[in-house]
Formats: sequence, C-alpha cells, structure tokens
Amino acid sequence: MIRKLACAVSLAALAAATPAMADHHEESDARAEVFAELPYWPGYWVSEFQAGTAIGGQNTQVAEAIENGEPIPDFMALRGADAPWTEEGLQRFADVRAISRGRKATGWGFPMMMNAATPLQITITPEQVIIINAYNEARYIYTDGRPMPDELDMWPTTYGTSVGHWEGDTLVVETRMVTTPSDFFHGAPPFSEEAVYHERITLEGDRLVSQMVIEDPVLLTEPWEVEVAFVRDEGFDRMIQFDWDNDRTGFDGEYNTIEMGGENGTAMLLPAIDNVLEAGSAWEVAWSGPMTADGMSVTPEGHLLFAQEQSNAIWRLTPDDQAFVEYPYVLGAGAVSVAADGTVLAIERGCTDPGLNSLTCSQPSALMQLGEQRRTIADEFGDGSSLGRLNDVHADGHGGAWVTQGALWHISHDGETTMVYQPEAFTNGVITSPDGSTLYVTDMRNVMGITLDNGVRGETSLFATLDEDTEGFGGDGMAVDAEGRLYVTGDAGIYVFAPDGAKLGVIPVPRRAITLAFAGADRRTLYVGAMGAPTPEGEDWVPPGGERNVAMTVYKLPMLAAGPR
Amino acid sequence: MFVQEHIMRILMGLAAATLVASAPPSVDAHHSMAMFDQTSEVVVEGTVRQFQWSNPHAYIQLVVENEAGNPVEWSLELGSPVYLYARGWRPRTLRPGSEVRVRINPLRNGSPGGAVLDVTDMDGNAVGSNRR
Repeated sequence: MIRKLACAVSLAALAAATPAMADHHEESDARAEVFAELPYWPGYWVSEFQAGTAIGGQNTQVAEAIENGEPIPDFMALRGADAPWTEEGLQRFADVRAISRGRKATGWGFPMMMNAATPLQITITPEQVIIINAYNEARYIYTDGRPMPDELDMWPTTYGTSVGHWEGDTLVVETRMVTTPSDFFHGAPPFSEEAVYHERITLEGDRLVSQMVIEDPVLLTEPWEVEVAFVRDEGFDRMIQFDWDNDRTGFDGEYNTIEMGGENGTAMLLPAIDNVLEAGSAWEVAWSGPMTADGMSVTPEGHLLFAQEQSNAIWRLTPDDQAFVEYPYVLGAGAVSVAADGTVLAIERGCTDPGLNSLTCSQPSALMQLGEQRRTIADEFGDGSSLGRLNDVHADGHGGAWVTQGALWHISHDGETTMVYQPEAFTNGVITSPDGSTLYVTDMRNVMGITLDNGVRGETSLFATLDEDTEGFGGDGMAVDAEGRLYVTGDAGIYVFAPDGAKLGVIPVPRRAITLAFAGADRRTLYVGAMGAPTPEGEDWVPPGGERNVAMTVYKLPMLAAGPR
Repeated sequence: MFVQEHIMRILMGLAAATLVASAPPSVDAHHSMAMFDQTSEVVVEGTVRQFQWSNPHAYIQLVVENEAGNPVEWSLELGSPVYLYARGWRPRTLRPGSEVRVRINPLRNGSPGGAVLDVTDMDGNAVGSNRR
C-alpha cells in the first residue's frame, strides 16, 4: 500500500516537472549550439620559446641559437624589459631587479603565467574561459556578456578581474585590478594597479598567439604592444598540481645560489629502521654555540629544554629553532627533566666544573625544582657530604628524581637520598620506560635495566650493550619513545633498542651525541646535543685559552617513532 | 655564459649597473640560470640521500665523497616535477640509496650544487630522460 502511494506521488511529481524540463531542453540545445561554434584548444600549452626545456631547467632553444649563431629568442618578453616605461617606471623596474636576489615566490602570478614554461590548460565554455597552470594559478574570464564590474566592486588581486568575448575565433579579454605583478613574483614587471591588460588570443595553426596591449597611465608612456605565443610541448598527459613549497633560492652576495643541505656534518646517509626512521631522512642543525646544550627534556607543548652550565640557565628551543633562556639563575645547570605533571626539575652543578680552570667558588650541587614553586630538593647526601658533580636527572613523577653521580641515586621529594645501583664502571644517563616499569641506567658500554613496581625496585639485569663502541666513555643521555624503545647516545651514534633489549639499529650523528629528547607538538622530532660546533667561518671552534671545549651543536631529525606524551 | 650575456643585453637598456648580478627568470626555472656556470660541466657520483619531488624545483640530494674521503652533500637542481614527468621522470625514479652519476653545470660560487644536465646509473644507463 505504501509502495503504491509512493509510486503515484513520484508520477505526479514527474508530470508537474515536464513543462520546466522542456524549457530546460530548449536552453540546453541553444547552449549546445553556441558551444559547438566555439574554438577548442585542447592540450598543454607552453610558452613558445621555452618548449623543450631540459630537465635541469635549461632553455635548449637559447642554447641552439647560440650554437648556430642565430639571434637569441626573447623567451620572456612579458617581463617588460622593452616596455615604454616612464622615468618612474624605469626606476621601479630597476628597484625590483635590485631586490630580486634570493627572493622567494609562491607562483608566477598574472601576467607572467602567460609567458612561463609552466604549461597552461585552457577550458572554453559559452559562459567563461578558464586558464589554469600547473601551479593551480587560475584566470576566470567571463564571456557571458556581463560588463566589467564597477570599480567600487573590485579590489586588486594577483590574477585580476577578467571579462571577455569572442570575435570569431579570437578570444578578446580585458583584465583590470591586478596587484603590482612584481609584488607577487620578483621576475614580473612592476605595473601599477591602474594598468589595464588587453589580450586577443587566436589559434594560428599549431601556435596559440596572444596579442597583448598593456596600458598603464602611471608607468608607461604609451600602450605597450607585446606578443606571446604558446605551443603544445610533448610528454604531458594531465595537469599534476601540487604546492610550490620548496623554493630554495638563496643569495651569496654576488649570485643567487641554492640553499644547501648537509651543513655542519649533516651530509650523511642514515639507515632506515622499521617504524623508527624513514629512508632519506637527514639531520638538520637546530642550534649551535660555544657553550653546552646538555641534559635535554621536553615541555608539555613540545618545546625542547636544555641545560647550559656556563650560562647558569635552562634554555628553551622552539620547533622553528628560536632559542631563549627559560629559567635563568640555575647555577651550573647540568640537566633538566620535566615530569608528566609538568613539574620541572634541574640539576645545579654549582662550582664543580673542572674544565673551566678558574672556578674558585664553593656553592654546592643540588637537585632543584624550578618554576613558581622553586626550591632546593636536596644539596647533600644523608651523611651531610656534597652531592658532587651531578650528571643526569630523570624526574620520578612524585616530586623526586633519579640522578647519576658515580652511582645511580634516588632523591625523594623531601630530599632523602638512596643508592639504587653501584656501577662496575660509571653511570651517566638515566630514564624510565614510558609505562614506568623499568628504570634504565648506563654503566659505560652497558645499559642496565632495573624493574620498578609502583616505585619499588626489583631486579637489576643487563638490558643491552653498546656493541659498536670500543673506545670512549660509552653510553650517555637516553630517551624512550611511546612504544617503549630505548635510545642511547654512544660513540657510534644513537643505539635503538626494542623493549626486549634487541638492537634495532644505530643512527649515526654528525658529532658525538651526549643527550637527546623527542620534542615537537607530535613528539616526532628527535633532538640530540652533540659535542663541538663550527665558527661562522666553518672551522670547528677551539677555545682560545686552552680551557675545556664546551661548544655544542643541537641537531634534529624527523622520526617515524614518537616520544611519549 | 650565454644566458648571462643575454641578460646583460636585456639589462643594458635600463642603465642600472646594480642590475648586472641579478637576472630575469628563465625558462621553467623561476630564477635566472646565471647562478650556474653553463660553460663548465662537472660529473658527480654518489648516493642519493633524498629525491625532493617538489615545486618550483625538484632536487637530488646526493652524498658524494670528497678528495679527503669525507661525505659532502650536493644539492642538484632540476626543473619542476610537471616537466620532469613529461621527460619520463617519476617521484620514485630515484630513491634513497640509489647510486648515480650526475652531469651538471656547477654553481658559480663553488658550493656543492648545480643544474642537472643528465643522470645515469653506475652502468651508464640513462635515468629518466633529458629531452622530449
């Protein structure tokens, strides 16, 4: 019954719609007739003297003309070198060229997209013509009979406002309200926003020819007539559009250049490690300087923190490589650790640095809580002796921390100190697994695992060995990722161990790394602090007075693995 | 050198000596080719660290051993991917770890970079193609 009713309703709806549909058919037929009369310019159109561009961007037509002793084609006439500029126009043309060195851009803009090698596609309909290039730069030219909008309805844009009509097979276009083209793209002419661009575009055999006349009452002495033409270059089968986001144009003082990769030792091939590191990844320099960047941790928003002993400060390093002092007056800042609740703990090494020659002060080392509730958690062992030159710190999440200094110690929130592990050689880095069930500590080239059950220590066993290190001081700073993998800095680089201790690989680092942390909003950037740094001249910094070299470089690496949140 | 001469010819009419070092954009490149020494060709051999399939230019980041045996990363510039595609190149034509030989016009300033002329594998087989 319901189905019958539904059937009847839909028939009625159809009957009611019939007269309107008849009108529509007539309209469609009329439109189809107009459409059939319009030219059809399929294909991928490349500026005439730039067809055949080689893979490196070289203009092969120019090269051939030189070889054959023929005149060099003016392959980019729209640039405006031959335009009838006023004196003011000439000055602006020169000004734009003078500041164009190393300038970056995000596309061609109008009118230059009409004279570029970047292919154009032209879609013609009765109502409009769309000209679009491979950088998604589009011109909408309305051919439905509308007039140019009133000046009050327009504002200047990169591609302007275009209205057109057909005179036979010639598309006649007028474009106004174009922002000064050289503001968008430095290789463009500096026409004023009062310029009017006239184009007459016709297919002549296999060439698409545009006769342009550009009027600019501000900067041209008379209308400038210029011809640009296009041919179909080979090999294109579809428009492949994606962002213009890797402009590496630089300037070296005399010429443009390519912004280089591989500086400060980062020219190295890194191994792919499943779910950890992708092939083709590279270290980048995030910070470098003549003082330390040690004992790293991460803020809740994902910014890196590092301790700098010589400036008595904890520094913050943002994802865009801006560094500033986050916590000043941390005497001999050695390491920092942010607990899951955001509490910031740090080690003060006091006046214990043996390498700077001239320290004569006597302030003690201490475990500090920083921030508004700044306090000294401990500055002596239970027997009243000095904590000595504290090395690394890892907050325990209960207001206390594990610290290394010869042995591994636990310092509770009220300052009680307990020895946790007596090493065979010496301890250095300390960290817990993300679930808190294992405490890791380095003992030179060994990494020890200590089980934790609600903070109560269980068994201690050998977790892993840095088997590619044969000299040097072995393991130093450590980090874990969200999956429980352990990352240990050694001579060979960063050792990556699975939660069961299996070695997954070693990530080489440009310099000897001593500390590391995952940071970034998604914790997928691995930062390492490594010993040594180049001067602006590119030579490694050497302290002039023979004191210990504390220069460091912070490198960062995009990771597949993410640090715990 | 020919492109630079051409540029100078264009610029001379503008009576501005400061313009000589700058240049118009040429061809597919969105910047001048004057930054490359087109009278000189260098062949660099090494291992691809990264193939940047990107606009406005693609780049081959090639790790090359220098005379002292140290790795140096070269930044080798190609045209835009839409052109590379038309010449038979694809985003994975080069992969990290590929060993290739690249003929280039080097950067004038001596930095490890250049404009690519052609690329072959270590047996001399063309990678992609250079012209249509």
